[in-house]
Order: sequence, then structure tokens, then C-alpha cells
Amino acid sequence: MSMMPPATQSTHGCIDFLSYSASLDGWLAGGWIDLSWDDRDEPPAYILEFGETKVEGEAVVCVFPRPDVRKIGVGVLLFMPGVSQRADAFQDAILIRDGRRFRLTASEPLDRPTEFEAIARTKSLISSAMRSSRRAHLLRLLNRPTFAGHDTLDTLQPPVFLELDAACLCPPAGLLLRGWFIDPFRSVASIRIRCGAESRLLDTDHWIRIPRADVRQGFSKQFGGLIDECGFLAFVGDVYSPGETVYFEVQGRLGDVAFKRVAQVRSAGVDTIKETLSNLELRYDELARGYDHVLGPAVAAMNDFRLMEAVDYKEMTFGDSPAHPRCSIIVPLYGRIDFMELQLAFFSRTLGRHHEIIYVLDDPTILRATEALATSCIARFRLPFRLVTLASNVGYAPANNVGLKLARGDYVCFLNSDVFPKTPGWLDSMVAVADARPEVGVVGAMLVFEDETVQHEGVAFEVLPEFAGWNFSLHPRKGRYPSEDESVQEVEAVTGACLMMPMALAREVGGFDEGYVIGDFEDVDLCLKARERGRICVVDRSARLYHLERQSQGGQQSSWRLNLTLYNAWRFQKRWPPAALEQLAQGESEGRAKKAELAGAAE
Amino acid sequence: MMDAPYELHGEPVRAMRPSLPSVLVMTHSHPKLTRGGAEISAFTLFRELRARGGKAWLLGCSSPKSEVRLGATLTQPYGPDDYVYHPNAAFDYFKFANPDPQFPKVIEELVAELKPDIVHSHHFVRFGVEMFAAIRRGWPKTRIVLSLHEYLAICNHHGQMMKTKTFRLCEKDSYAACAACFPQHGERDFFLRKRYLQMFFDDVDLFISPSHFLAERFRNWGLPASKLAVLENMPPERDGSTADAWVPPAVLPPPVEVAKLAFKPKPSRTASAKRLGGDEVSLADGAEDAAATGAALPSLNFGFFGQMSPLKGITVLMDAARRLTDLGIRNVVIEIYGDYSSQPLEFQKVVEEALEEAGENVVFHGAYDNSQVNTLMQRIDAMIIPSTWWENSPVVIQEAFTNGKPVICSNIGGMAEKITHGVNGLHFEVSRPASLAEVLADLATNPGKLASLTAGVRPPPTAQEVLEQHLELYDRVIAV
Repeated sequence: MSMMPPATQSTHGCIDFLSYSASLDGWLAGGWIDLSWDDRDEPPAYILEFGETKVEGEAVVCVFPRPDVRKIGVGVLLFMPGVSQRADAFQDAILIRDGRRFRLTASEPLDRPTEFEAIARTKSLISSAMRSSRRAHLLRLLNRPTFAGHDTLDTLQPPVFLELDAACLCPPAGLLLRGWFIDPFRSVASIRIRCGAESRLLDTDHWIRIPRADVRQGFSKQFGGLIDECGFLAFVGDVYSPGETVYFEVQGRLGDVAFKRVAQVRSAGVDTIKETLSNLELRYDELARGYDHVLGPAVAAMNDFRLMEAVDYKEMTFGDSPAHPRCSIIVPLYGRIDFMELQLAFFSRTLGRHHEIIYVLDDPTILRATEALATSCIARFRLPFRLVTLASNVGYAPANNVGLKLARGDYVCFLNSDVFPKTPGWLDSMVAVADARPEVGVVGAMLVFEDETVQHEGVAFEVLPEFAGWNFSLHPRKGRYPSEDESVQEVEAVTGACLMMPMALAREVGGFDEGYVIGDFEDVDLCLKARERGRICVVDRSARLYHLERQSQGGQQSSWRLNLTLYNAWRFQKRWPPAALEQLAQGESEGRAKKAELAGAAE
Repeated sequence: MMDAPYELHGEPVRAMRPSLPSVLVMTHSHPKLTRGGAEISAFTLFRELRARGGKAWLLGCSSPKSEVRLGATLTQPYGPDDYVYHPNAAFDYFKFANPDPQFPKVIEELVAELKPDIVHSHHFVRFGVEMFAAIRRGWPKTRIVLSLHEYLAICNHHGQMMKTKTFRLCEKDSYAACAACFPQHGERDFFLRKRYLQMFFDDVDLFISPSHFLAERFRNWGLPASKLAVLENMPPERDGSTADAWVPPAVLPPPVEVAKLAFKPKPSRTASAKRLGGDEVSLADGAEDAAATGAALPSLNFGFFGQMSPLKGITVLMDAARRLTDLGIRNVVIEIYGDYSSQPLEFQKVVEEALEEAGENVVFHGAYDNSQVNTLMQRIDAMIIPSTWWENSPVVIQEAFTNGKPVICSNIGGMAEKITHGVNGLHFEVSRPASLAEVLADLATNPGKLASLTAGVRPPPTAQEVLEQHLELYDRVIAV
């Protein structure tokens, strides 16, 4: 049967077969072990060595008579709960009992049966083992039902209902599951999600409850005491492998097991992000839990996947933009291209020819109309500009970053398409502010609504208890009449609707963080990255522009849009926890004090 | 308000003009193709300038039926100083932007070539307001004059300043009110629209308004008072040798058989116990008996000339006619010269029903040829302008005055400004048939009153006089 181990290695036995059982979440192995092994109920520790990688835990060990090794050892069957590894890299199994190590080396060749063959073989061999609680335990495990490709959930008694509306891949291997679940008799002990060799327990931490009145009403005649929140949104990481079937394994409190297949796994994209964030209303503390464990990692994975490939773009020039502009204005366009027409008209009266304008069309569906309008605009307004058109809709931060890559100015001014200049020379004024003070990293403008009230005169952070106590960027004095004051004021951050900074700094910090989806928080994040490098943010109150806020994103906020803002807020908290913000502010005030002291000393 | 350098002094200042300024006259539709008020004014201006020996050019837009020359944006099918622009893009009627990428270059080059002292445009539609910047680029020395013909820049509702849903009169634009009239646009769209228009209007040196009323509306909207002048449009061209001639009121052409349409005799009723739509009408002392019989009073013919549309108040007029019959006024005939075939079908039905039910005092003649207007006006005793919108300076007022006829009009806007109540006409309350009926009944029963109003009519300024006023404004704007 088994080959003797190589004489050079000190061994206490041999592993003849080894197989990972996904349904048991552990390794099954058989072989022999030295006669000195003390066979008792207390489980020994085990280490499985796969080259550099080790899997450790506590093993279930049963010995059985084996005539072929009777002078030196006994037959041994092992169940070692743990994660899957590549079985062909297996070297040794080590059992540790009372401080003594028993090394069982892989026989050559090692038999690597399928999961089901391994279960059958272990069952057959264990029949000759002595009766013990270990034997009983292992037999129970081996006799568990396994998924045979069809749903068996309806066989459970008392009944349990589990339906899936959607399963979305969160690349590379996560899954976001949306559906509903009813357990009227509280008879379910656990639910696992399985795929190939991987399995994950669905715990309540990774599970958001969603009201599904429709489901509850449908079952309320049959069962009493159901709650509305029987819908769920669950995230499981590292479970999916392409080509393998995904299924739920529902285990009852009595040890009974049933399966439910996941029919289809959808790929990740903007649509799946929208869908994920629709019909959810998380507030207060459920917000942090929901985003930490479910929505946060799921949306981050989908967004990373979406942005994995570099965006394809082409550039057209209209008129002769300056070769060495003072400032490059970057305006992403989405939906309303008439804003480009209006902006260029107004820029033609308020902007010197020493700046360049770069429009980034982030909406390929209106490419032809935009090109035609651009041709008309240069004819009418005679203001040169560059038009960069993206091959796909990528969102605010990536679109701006493409513009940043192509910009040639000493400064860059990120501008929204619904911002329109009010005063001539607005940009020259902002550039002059930065020119005069090297410590200035970001210059914002005074933005007003069409009724001349404040839209933005600097951003301040405020903790909102309703939203998990997270920091949100607010616009103080918004909607009020602005003061006549035209000075330059230091602020915590400025809005990305009109945000100017030195080109070198913008590139050094990598532009906008593309992890924020569609457009929220990346502007204040950019400001904080500048402050982290010792620069300050100011608002030039003499540079006045109109900001017709949120016009470019449609009117009423839909639930997915609000939840996306919350996602971005969550991401922002992870990057800039309150302590980090405080530290920044403290560092700056100490810096100011020191400067003042130095200035005092110099006098 | 008109404290500006553009207040006219009335006296033609120079019969001995050393040289006339050269003028490029522009109109949104070439007068050879359509005959709206603005086109006629533009063409008359062009013609009169040339008649005075001045250098003038005409530029109008093509109609959809115009012959297109492939690749030619500007053509000259009507002569060497006469240009036709063929727009090559869908015009943006919301902010009056012309997306045609060819036009800015074409107009810029044309102005650079002609070097006119004045570019006088009679509209901005179809050309687009951006043309003012292009003209400025093409020949910076030129002065740009824009005639305002209605409230289009202020009001997106065809420039009528009437609410879209209720058709009530609108006093002033606001972003909120405009957005309420046009739910498909937000307040901010109207903000941007206004800003866009005003930015390009900045390049205009002088706005000419044919009424103080319209000028005031534009001043309220934001045009600087210093750039606004009030000056009547060039009077319309007349047929043949009678052009601009003052026709004395005494000379009446021989009566002509009129095409009668709607006659449905109704039993006449007495004026006793009349309540007219809730409005008590009181007739002048002693007139009641006369009204009841209608025997001793001379017959009065009132004329309505123009489009039979809701805005022109045709239903107000028909209703008033019915009320006159109800009052027992039988010596009044209302003669309608106009057409309703271009009205919406629903309104056509309304007009047809009203004509069907009209009493003997309404005579519907149908459409008329403008060359006949003086002849037709001679047959009436007074003109009625029952418009339910503000109007600006309706050309029929000048035509009525040319023919020595007083005008009865709604008491609002440009028309009320042109008619002095009790001098050369009468006002009645806009959109109130009872008020119009009251005024007409009063005239019918007091023959002396109409005679005094007729005597109060003064001839409108001639084309030469209006041209002289134009030249005076041109001089001033060149001098600024």
C-alpha cells in the first residue's frame, strides 16, 4: 500500500490520501501513524504544510487497524477543519500532542481523490475503527448531505424560505446578495454560502435587513409574528470562483441541512452599484455597520473593477489654446451640453486668453451633438478650448483626472459645468492669490446662486448624528446674502465646483481620489491631501461666480444617489477619521503660532 | 425715463445733410419673402435711405422655400446691395442662439467688407444674439442699432407677456414666474437665458422702441435707459403714388359691394332691463329712447382689421356686438376684415360659431389685401383694436390715422399709449366686452362725440419724417 518515507527524514507516519472537502470546510486525510501515538478523545493541534503556507487548527483523529504497518504503527483518519489550499503543494502534516510533534509526510505519489471519493473512502475505512466519540463525530460529518446540484430547501421541516433577487460579483471574489429570508419557527442554526472549495458563514454582521412588506404580507396568513424587515442585503468576501456553482447551505438546529442554488451571478458596473444602493434607508448607528461590513466593501470592489482599465479618450482642439497657459480650466460634461455653450459665451467676456479651457465629455451618448456644438461655439465666441471625449462614462473624479493629465497650465482650476462667471478677471484674481502666497495649496471662489445668495464661501466639516456621527462637508451661510467683504480667507476646504491649485501639487497628490463614486467628497479629500502636505486652503471672495448647484445631476435626489453620497461619506471617514482632521487643524495652528513667533523674533 | 441722449426733439434738424451715414439694414426674414411688421419697417428704411441718396444694404434671412446654393451661406438673388442669409442649423428659440457655425464668420466678413457706419437690425431671431459680437469684431467702428418689435427677449411666451395657462396679462418677468409658465424649464434656465441675452445685448449701442410702454418694459428688464430711444417704426409702404399721402377724411371713395357672410337676423329687443354679463350699462341721458328705436340716429360703421386671433380680441368684439343688439342699439355695424384660417382648429370653431350666431350688426368680409387697406378704411367711421395683449405699436393705428379715423382700443400697453382717450379715440377695459359695448353704445347715441374724435386725429409722421428721426438718432449714436 503505502511507500515507506525517505530514510533521511525523521517521520512518525505517512499521509496516503488528502482531499479538501468544501462541504465540510476542512481537510480529509488517511495514512498511518507511529505506534507511540496516544489515541484519546482530546483533539491534538495540527499543522498542514503547503510549501511556505501553513494551515493550522485542531484535528479529529481516528485510528484503525492496518495489517501492512502493524509492527510500526496503526492506520489513521484525519479531519482537519480549515481553509482550502493547493493540494499538490502539500508536504507534511504535523500533529502535536503533549508537546510532542508527530510528522506525517506525504507518500509519493500522494493520492488526491475528489471530495466525494475522499468522503466515501474515509467512511469505508472508519467502519473498522474502534468506537469512540471521535468516530461518532467524524461519521456524523461524513454523513452530512452534500449539494447535488438541485435545491432541497423545501424539504426542511419546519419550513424555511429563502429567495434571492440578485447576486452581484464584487471582484475579484466577493458576492453581494439581495433577497429575502423567512424562518417562522426560528429553526435555522446557520446559513453558509458556498462556491467550489470556498465557503463563508453569513453572519448578521454582514447582513443588512431591508423592509419587504410585500413578502411579509404574502406569508402573514400562514405564519404569525413575521416582521417587515425580512429582506436582506449581504456581503461575503473571497468566496466566488468563476465556473463554480454558488449555493446556500442552510443548517437547522437539529443538524439537518438543505441547499439552495444561486442561479446567476451578475458582473459589476455602475448599474449594479445603483441597484445595490436603491431602496435602502440606513440611519444612525445602522449606517456605520451597514457600510463597514456590507455596502462599503461591496461598492468599493465594484468601483475598483469598473476603473481597472484605463479610460480611452480622444482630444479635439477648437482654436489655438496657449502653449503655456497660466491656468488650465477643466470642466467635466455630463448630460447638459448647453452648459458648455453658455460657459464659453460667458468666459469669452470674463477670461483672458492666457488660460486654457479643457472640456471632458464624460457622456459618450451625446458625442456627436457635443462636437457639433463645439464647432458652433468656437465660431460664435472665438474662445479657444480643448474637448476631450471619453469612450465611456467614468464619473467626476476619473474624468477630471484625464483632464489633469492633459493640462498644461502652471495652475489647474477644476470647474463644474453649472458654474458661470459673474465678475470679469475672476481667474486672474485666484491665480494672483496663489502666486502671492506659496503656502496656499487650494484657492476657492465665492459662489452665489442666481438670486445672489451664497452657494459657497468655504467648506466646514460638521458631525451629523443622523448619519452615524460622520463628518460631512457643509457650506456655512448657504442661502444667505453674502457680505461685501472681498478679502481672501482661510477655510477648512473648498468646493470642487471651482477649485484652483498649483499644477505640481495637483499631480503630486494624484488628482482626485477615484474611489469616490460619481461625485462627492473627492473635492474636500483633495483639499485635505494638500493640507497634509502643509499647504492651506483659501477662498478668494473677490472672485465671484454663479453656481446653479446640482443642475447637471437632475432634480430630486433619488434614494440610490443619497446612498451613494453616504458611501462616499463612509469612504471619506475611513480616509480622514475625526482624529486625523483634528490633528491637521492642530498642526496648522501650531505652525501659525510658530510662524508668528519667528516673525516676532525677526522684528 | 428717456433722459438719455436719444430723446428726440421733434424738429427735423437738417434738410441740408452733407452726407448720410451708410447703413446695413437687417431683418430676420427677407421682405421679399414675408411681409411682417418688422420686415416692412426694415424694407421701408432701406428704400428711403437709398431714395435720399444714402448708402444702404439689406440683409434678410431666407425662407424654407428659398433657393439654396450649395456651400453658400450668403446669396444675392435680389440685387447687388441686397443679401439673403441661409441659416444652416436649428435655431435656439429659447435663448435666441444661432448654432450655425458659418454665420459668425459670414457676418463678420460682410461687415468688414461694407464698413457700414450703422448696422440697424430689426430683429435677432434666426441671426442669433451672438451676431452683435461678430459685427463688433468685423468692423469695430460700426454702431449697432436694434429695433425692438415685441417682448421676445423678456418673455418666452412668444414675447407676449401673457401667462401660458390663463392668458392673463403679465406685468414683469421673474425666474420663478417664467418657470411657472414653462414647467419644462427651471428658474435657473431663465436666469441663464437672460444673462446670455443681456451679455450679447451689451454690444448694441442703441435700442429703438416704437412705444414708451415697450421701452419701459425693457428698461425694467435691465436694458440701460441711456441706450433706449422711442421712435415709431418706419410707416408701411403704400400702394402706388399715394404712398405716405395724408388722405383727408372728407373724401370718401364710392361705396363698394362687400362680401357679406354672416347674417342671421334676430328679433330686436329693447334696451330696457338690460344686464350685460352682470355689468349695468348706462346710456347717455335721453339716448335710451333713441337707442330703442334706432330711427333718428345715423348708422356707424366700425372696422376691425387684422388676424382674428384670441390675442387680437376677436371674441371680445363679437361678444360686444351681441351686447349691442341686446341693448337695442341698431345703428351700429361692425365690419370685420381679417382671417382666422391660420388659427388653431379649436379657435376656428369658436370664431365660426360666433359668426354663425352674430346679429345683423356684424359683417364679416374675410381676408383683405394690404394694398386695399386705405380704400377699405375709408368706408368705416372708426377703428376698433380690442387686443387682449399689450401690443406694441400696431401698424393699423398708423393706417387708421392716415385715413383720418379715430381708434377705440383696449386700455393697455402700446396701443393705449398711441391713442389719447377722448382726443383721437377711446379706451375701454381690456378683455371686457361690456366695456367695449358701453363705449360703442355711447358713440352710437351721441353722434357729436365721434365727430369730435375724428377731428382730433392727426396724420402720422410720413416716412420721410420718420427717416429724418432715424438719421438724427444715427448721428447721435455715431457721436457717442
